[in-house]
Amino acid sequence: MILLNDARNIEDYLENGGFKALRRALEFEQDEIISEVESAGLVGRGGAAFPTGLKMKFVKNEKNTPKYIIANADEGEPGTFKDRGLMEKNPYQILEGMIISAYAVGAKKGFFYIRYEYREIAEKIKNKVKELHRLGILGNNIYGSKFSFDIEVVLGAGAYICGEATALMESIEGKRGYPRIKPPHSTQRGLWGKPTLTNNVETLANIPVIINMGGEKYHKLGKEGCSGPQLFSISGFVKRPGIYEYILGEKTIGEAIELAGGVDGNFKGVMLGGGASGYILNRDYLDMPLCFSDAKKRGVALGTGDIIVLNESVRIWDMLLNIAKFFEHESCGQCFPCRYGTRRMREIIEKIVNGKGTSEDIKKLNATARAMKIASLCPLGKSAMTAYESAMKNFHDELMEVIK
Amino acid sequence: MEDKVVEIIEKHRKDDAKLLAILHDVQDEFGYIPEDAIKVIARELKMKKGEIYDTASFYSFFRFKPEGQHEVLVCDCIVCHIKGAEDIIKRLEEEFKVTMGETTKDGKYTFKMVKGLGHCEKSPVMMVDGKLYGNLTPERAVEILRRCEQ
Repeated sequence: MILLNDARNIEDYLENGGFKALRRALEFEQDEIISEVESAGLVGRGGAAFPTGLKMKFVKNEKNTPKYIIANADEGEPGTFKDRGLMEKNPYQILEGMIISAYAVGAKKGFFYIRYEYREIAEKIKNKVKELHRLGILGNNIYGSKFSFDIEVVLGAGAYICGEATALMESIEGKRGYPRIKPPHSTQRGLWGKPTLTNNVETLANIPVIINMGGEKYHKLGKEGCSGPQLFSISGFVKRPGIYEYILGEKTIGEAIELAGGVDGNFKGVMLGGGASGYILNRDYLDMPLCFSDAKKRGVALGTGDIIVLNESVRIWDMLLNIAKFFEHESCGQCFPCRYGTRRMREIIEKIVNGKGTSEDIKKLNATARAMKIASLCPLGKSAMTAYESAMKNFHDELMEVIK
Repeated sequence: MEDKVVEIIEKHRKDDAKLLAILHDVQDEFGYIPEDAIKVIARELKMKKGEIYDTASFYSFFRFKPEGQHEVLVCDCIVCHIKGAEDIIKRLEEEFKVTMGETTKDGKYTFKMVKGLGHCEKSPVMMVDGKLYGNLTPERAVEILRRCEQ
């Protein structure tokens, strides 16, 4: 285990070499750390899979100060619970990764943004931040170096959209969680208009690992197009649902299901990469390795790393209605294509579920999907129809069976 | 009330991310965010009342009127949904004579449907006053809530 180690107390963490990476990193030049992360090939684990080293470089190269760093623990994607597990079991590794990243980009202040539903965890993280202050691992002149850094824990208040980096920044600033129009990117103008590095908490937990083993060696974990460990939230109709850690590319979807105890009932399909914005896939995908490039080749994505297993009791239109209701509720309402599109999508799917769907409705759904993808301001609207489109491809007969 | 709200604001004076933190504490103190508290916050932070309401009303968990004694969040995310959340919701609505979003007549429970409590390994789940209950059946959900009454 590289990420999901059990080190809830500082003693356990220090005993297993905790904060060794930070002490080492403080002796490196900032660019050296970033180049280690780049050569490691680490990409973000929050869903977008953007190269972490590159993002760090963007922030580091900005002249504007002060700079900020954000740990994104606003894990709102249905079916995803791996960040929760990581924060419960191994919180210090996230904090260590955050401090190292802050040093690398030159940030003096960090925000740890946690969703409201994880309130208890937020309290624990607050206490750990205080603890690290007492130990001189946070605050002024960390480990006697010239580097000073502090973390403020921010509790969300129930908004899926705040997982999107710029909406999250608005929320920290005390505003409605409306995503911003890009460019400028938040690496240039983020929190309070200053350069800001935002990383998912699992991404941050990889940073100490890279510093300890070196970028080159880390890169060898995995295969071409994906490196390092990744956490997978496996749920639904599977015998041992839970959080599983695998080296990327090592296991296929089918193997991951078997390792989680196998299917409960007769296998029908999976929802991959997010329980709202993910893909609904059939058995043809069981042999797909859990790797970013393999997923891309097949036109899908690993997203937030969840695998929701479906058995034959699941009806796909019913799932799509649940997802459509989710997006209608969570659309922030700022841009028209998403505000109206999510509502229209829910209305049409509801009609179909009630047995009144016609081929005209399918045409309307397809047109809505297209418009939302082209014109929505942020990834919420762009991904709202992913489940529908992938289901139409993979469960075409079932979906069309009820259409008059 | 004013003194208490001022005290909360002072506690967060040095925070960079003030507003959400203040609103959370006010809600914890009074059970909801009273209009009078919004007035005090506006005065102290030199903002307009409308600006504070504008932010607060965006977030699902802020509330502006008193609610039941116990907060019951029933999850209907996709995982809970395929594992029977609908039956649980239906049963709770019948048993407590409410629809999701409402408070029971005796003021004991406020029921809310949420999508994603982040404990899908135990689906279907609900949260009562912050405590999570997993692997629910309609019967077990009713039983857990009836136990709260005692």
